[in-house]
Amino acid sequence: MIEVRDLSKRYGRTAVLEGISFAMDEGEVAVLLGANGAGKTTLLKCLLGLVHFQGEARIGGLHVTFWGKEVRRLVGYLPQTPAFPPHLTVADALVYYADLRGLRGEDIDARLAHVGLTAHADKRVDALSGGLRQRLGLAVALLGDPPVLLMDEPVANLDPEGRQLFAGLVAEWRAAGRTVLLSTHVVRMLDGLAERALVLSEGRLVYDGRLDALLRSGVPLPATPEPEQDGDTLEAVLRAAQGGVMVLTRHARNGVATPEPEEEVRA
Amino acid sequence: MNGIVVTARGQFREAMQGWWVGVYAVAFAALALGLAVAGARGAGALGFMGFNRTSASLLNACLLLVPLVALALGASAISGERERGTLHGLLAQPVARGEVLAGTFLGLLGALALATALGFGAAGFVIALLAPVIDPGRYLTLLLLVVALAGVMLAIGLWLSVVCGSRMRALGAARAVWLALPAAGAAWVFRRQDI
Repeated sequence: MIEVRDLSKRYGRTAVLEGISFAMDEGEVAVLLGANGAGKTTLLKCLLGLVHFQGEARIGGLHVTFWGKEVRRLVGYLPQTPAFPPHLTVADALVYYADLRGLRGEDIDARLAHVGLTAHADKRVDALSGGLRQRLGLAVALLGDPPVLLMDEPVANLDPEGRQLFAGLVAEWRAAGRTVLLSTHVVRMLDGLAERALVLSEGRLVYDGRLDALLRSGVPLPATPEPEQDGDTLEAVLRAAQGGVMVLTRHARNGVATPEPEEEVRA
Repeated sequence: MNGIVVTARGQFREAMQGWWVGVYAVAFAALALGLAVAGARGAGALGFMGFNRTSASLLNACLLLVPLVALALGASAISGERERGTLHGLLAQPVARGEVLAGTFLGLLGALALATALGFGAAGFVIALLAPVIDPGRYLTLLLLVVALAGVMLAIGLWLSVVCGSRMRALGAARAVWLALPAAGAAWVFRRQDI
């Protein structure tokens, strides 16, 4: 469903992504990990065709550079900090994005109920808290039930109840056979829901393998990290991943470091 | 095509819910009425002097005010969306960038045209009630020309909005264009004048 081959992105002289290659099948759920500035958001923007890049990326067989509009019809995207036209109410915002996607007869009330926003339907968007805005972003991303979901820090602003709701949604998407790629710091929450982890470090894909293997590697990953712990946690994940990749790169195929099934990741 | 219509509708609706459309319409109406009254007094007559002279007086005022409003509006459109983060979410939808640009232009032009028509219309209605000699055709032509001028300036403003890094830079560039255009026009006319 998602194919990325030798993708590189530079901003001026700075290389943000270098030689990224991976593929995701239909129904696969993967987490994208990396420290701040590792290139996670840029990679998601490349997959949406929002930024120019070198290399090749396809979603649903369509090249994102040449078929950007058609690709975005297949993709539901949740940005890191969702923003909406401030004059709209929550319900109107959802109608607006449904119209943009060309969806007629979308059940807006059901969509709002799905993410727990029914009570806020008539509130203006600029009056929403960060967490409620995140939920609205989720509702927008799910409009039209796209087969691919790209999510950038989807639980960053959510309270524990919101995170629980999100975990339930991931399980639902997985059961529905959707392909989900999400960047998050809250790795443990997705244990058992996401089977795969992609780790970026300084613009390079340093680990592509099973999430449970990464978690079993002994790295202390809190379920709901405090903001000040995020850096340490990610550093630990990266150290583990980079430790693993020394083993994994021996089995790299088509530029992708893919672990052999029996292999354990070395911490 | 759907992207153009939805974006235009959204921009128009947002503009209509903002304060500037009302202020702009009232300013235009006050300007038109004020010019008519001042012109009539200058000519020694009492009351209003009708559509023809009002049209001529309004033209000069429009040439200054309309470009300023349209340039500023265009300059803050895309750059404003970019700064508040809504452009990112918009472009992540299945719409082409050209559709977003065209929709933004049409939506804002619609709001500008409506505000201009309300202002001109209100003044024209009052003048028509009080003045015996009227030429509404010329007044309407002036209104259409003003809207066309607004369209050109809005397009320039939108271009600045896209190429300038921030909203403040775009607005600064728009003001520079607004100042430079009359000077360029004057220079162009002056070069062709017989001395």
